[in-house]
Amino acid sequence: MFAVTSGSVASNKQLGDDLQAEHYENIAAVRSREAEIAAAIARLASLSAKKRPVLDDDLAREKFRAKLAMQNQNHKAQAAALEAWVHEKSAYLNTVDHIDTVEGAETALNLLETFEQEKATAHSTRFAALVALGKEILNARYSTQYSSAQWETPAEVTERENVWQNTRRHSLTISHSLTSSLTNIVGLGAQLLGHVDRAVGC
Amino acid sequence: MEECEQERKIALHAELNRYILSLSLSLSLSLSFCHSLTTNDSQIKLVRWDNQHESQFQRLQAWIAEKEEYLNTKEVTTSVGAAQYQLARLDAYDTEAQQGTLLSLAVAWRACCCCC
Repeated sequence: MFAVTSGSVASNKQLGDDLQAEHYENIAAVRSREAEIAAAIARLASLSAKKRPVLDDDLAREKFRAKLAMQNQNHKAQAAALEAWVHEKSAYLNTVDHIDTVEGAETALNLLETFEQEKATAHSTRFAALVALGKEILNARYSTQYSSAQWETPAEVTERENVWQNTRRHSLTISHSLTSSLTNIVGLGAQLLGHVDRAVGC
Repeated sequence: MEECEQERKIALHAELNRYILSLSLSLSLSLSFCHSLTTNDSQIKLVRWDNQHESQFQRLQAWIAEKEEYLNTKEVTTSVGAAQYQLARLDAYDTEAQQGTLLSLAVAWRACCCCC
């Protein structure tokens, strides 16, 4: 394909000037061609000036979308880490230890309390961060006169948060049930000890 | 004898006059021919320049049509890389257009025209 070389138009104009200097009889046709080219070049300059802001906008919008994609990856990783933590703790909560002493029951209760504290910390830090990031992703908007964008799969984000919520609810149920069982055991143990003490006193 | 000599002189003069007349005519014709040749050369040169001008015009028009189509096309951009590529492409177009329209290599062109 022909490429416009340096000075193509200028040299064309120069050739026209030379023809005019030589009093060429068809100079009108020559000048008409030059006018046509000049008008077309002005049209191209205007088109180019209009195209640039659109392309700048494309770049800005794609950077915005890339940032959202990165945030979504982070959200996914955070949710996966939380899920792994919940999975690990569920294994602990689902394990039924054979407890036949008051000391054993108290140790188990202490362990459960530690777990509860850990869970509260995880909720206020890791889960809060997950929710905040999710909100940031879902609320982010790009909008200009040329284009607009937002995160395209919001359900995927909220679903990840729901998974954590559901798992947390499940672990809470187990935890409550364990706590009440262990409390009963400790209570029973205390009663038993009272009986023993009374028997010994008698 | 003298009469005869006289007639011969008259004949020679007549012959000389005819020769001079023919020479004059020939010279006049030659001058006219030379002038005509020069005029023709000049016309040929101008027509050649006009043809070059027309040829340049057509190439520029083809280039303009191609670029107009490109500038009127709205590209579908779905990545940062693609957006950067499109911007680089527009930069390249602007550079090419600027070189084509603003810089002057008329001297080189003229040299080419003179040797044609």
